[in-house]
Amino acid sequence: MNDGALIKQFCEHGQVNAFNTLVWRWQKPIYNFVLRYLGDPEDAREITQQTFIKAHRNLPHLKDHARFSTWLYQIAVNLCRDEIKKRRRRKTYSLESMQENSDQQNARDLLPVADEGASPDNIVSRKELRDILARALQQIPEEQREVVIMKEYQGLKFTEIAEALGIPLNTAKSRMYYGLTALRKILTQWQFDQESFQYEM
Amino acid sequence: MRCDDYKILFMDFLYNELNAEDEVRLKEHLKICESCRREYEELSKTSVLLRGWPDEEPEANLVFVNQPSGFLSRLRHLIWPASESLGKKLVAGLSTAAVAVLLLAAVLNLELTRKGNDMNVRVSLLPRSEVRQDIDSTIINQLREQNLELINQVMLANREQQRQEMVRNLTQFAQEVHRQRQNDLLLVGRGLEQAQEWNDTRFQHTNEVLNSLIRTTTYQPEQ
Repeated sequence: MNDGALIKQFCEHGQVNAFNTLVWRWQKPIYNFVLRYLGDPEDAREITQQTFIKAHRNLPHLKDHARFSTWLYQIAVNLCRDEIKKRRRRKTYSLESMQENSDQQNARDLLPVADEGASPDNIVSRKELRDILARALQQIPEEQREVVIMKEYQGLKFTEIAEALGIPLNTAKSRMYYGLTALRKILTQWQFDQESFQYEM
Repeated sequence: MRCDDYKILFMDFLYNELNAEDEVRLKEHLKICESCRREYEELSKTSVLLRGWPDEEPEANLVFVNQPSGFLSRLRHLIWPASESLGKKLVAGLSTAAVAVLLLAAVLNLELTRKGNDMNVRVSLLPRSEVRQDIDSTIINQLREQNLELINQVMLANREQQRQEMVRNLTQFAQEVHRQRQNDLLLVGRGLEQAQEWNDTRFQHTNEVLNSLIRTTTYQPEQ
């Protein structure tokens, strides 16, 4: 049964199991989107839960059922943005102290492999790669991060990304371009490239 | 076209969303422009590298359950179905408002009177205590008489019913006493019979003992 039919069952007949099927289907993509956006599993679980609670409450108001997935991402993005605002308010002091450091030093501090003698030829494990990418994603601006995650991990088309974020199509593409470029620079700065991961690949 | 014009197409090309015509043009450009080719390759490598972070399993599964809704909530849902159109909602809203106004008017004892062109509105939380003066007193008297008659009838009927009930109860009581008396007499009779039997048995036993004693004492062996 497709999403549209499940939404109809839930909205018109109040079948909560139809909504649970939608949750079961979309929980993992939304969780992984939020996890990559915020970089913290606990926050990701919390925001995923809030996303579906909001969806449960507002689904009857969704007119175009074909837009369900982008609508769901829209909710998740808004909650992630709110969470980041909250974090900024909570961690103003620590952010200020971080900004005093040079970008180079900051980037090195963020590297999970804190070995000063690490060479570019170091082979990293899949777990280390995950941590490095998580930290790299946190370094790029939110507006680029949203697009990069939606495109690279969620596999959304640029039109869907533009719709979910409420931005023009070309803006979505340019944010993707700048996001990828920024990530490339960060990873190069950390002396990390694809060759480092060849062993595991 | 300048290099910047081709760079716009990089993202569409990288994610297979570029149309065939632009794809041919971009490929031609990448063949001849080393700078663009190098940048595209770097972006492509970065994209591949990003995929090194596979999806993770959320540890907890979310399950929604139906909670029994309260009366007000059910009423609200009945009046305001969430998925209805704006027009239906408007109709539902107006109907609800009309019902609310009527209820309020009833609670406040709203009274509208019109004399000529004047419209009088009276509102009171308490019901009107005034009795209209123009009610015919004969009707009242008639009603009173009827009331009295009815009350008398009811009282007489009640009295007769009580009397019959008392007679019935007394009869039942007398019957019960009579039955009890017979029962007692029967028991007394049986008791006397049993006592007589017991006495006879005792007498017989005593006689036997005495006879035995007499026989023993009268026996005197010759010396």
